Amino acid sequence: MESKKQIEIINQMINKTKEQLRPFSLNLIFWGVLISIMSIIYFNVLHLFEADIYHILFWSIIPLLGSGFMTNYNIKAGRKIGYETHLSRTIKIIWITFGIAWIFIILLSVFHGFVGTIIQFLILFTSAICLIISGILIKYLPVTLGGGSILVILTLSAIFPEISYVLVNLLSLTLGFTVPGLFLYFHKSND
Amino acid sequence: MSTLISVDTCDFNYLLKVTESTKGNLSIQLKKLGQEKYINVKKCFENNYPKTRYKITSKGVKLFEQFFKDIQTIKEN
Repeated sequence: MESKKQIEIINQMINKTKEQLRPFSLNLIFWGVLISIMSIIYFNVLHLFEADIYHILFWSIIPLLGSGFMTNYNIKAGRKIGYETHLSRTIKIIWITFGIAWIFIILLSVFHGFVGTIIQFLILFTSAICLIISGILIKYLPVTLGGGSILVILTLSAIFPEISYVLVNLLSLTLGFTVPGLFLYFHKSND
Repeated sequence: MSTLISVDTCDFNYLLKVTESTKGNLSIQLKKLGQEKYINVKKCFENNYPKTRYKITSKGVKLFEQFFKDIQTIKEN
């Protein structure tokens, strides 16, 4: 076989492996919508409870159930696709690290009695960094900008502490997760 | 090998689809690559069905890179 033909075959084989971004976009949409709904519920009902334990339970049990659901979905999606690229593995590792950081922050808040705003700042800041890195890796600007918008909102909330942190949560999750997730779902899922 | 170098891991069915090969032919090729330690073969069960996953080893990557360099040299000459 000619060397040119061989290179062509190698190229064809490599090009057949497409980056599957649909599961990642669905993860962004799921977390954006879930945490936004939780923020609305919290804003209207749960903030009336004074004991910190109810707040910690609310912000830890539901996301843990969500993590279980999405992990199950991601495993099934991975099996269906049949392969994992180096990039999707890297993104998976980044978000697993975020999950570990999230558990660590929740545990610290239980043992050291962090207040809601500090926990929220730490979690949103970590998620913003993960979003920026993911956006740069997949070369998709809306995801990077989503992470950047969370950093801007966090900065504004630090300058104007009177802004409700439920509103900060809502805006951050909508601009950082839901909107970039929808963009990714409709524009780059099949690239 | 070109497919395996472009992914981290993949299963037999995916390789079957992209190579457009037959099951018998592909499994023989993969067995030979596995014996030479160019790829890692991991067998497991998913929903009670056997599943085999493949991953290129560093030895396989080096070999593929050398092969690619060689055919490029031949092409240039």
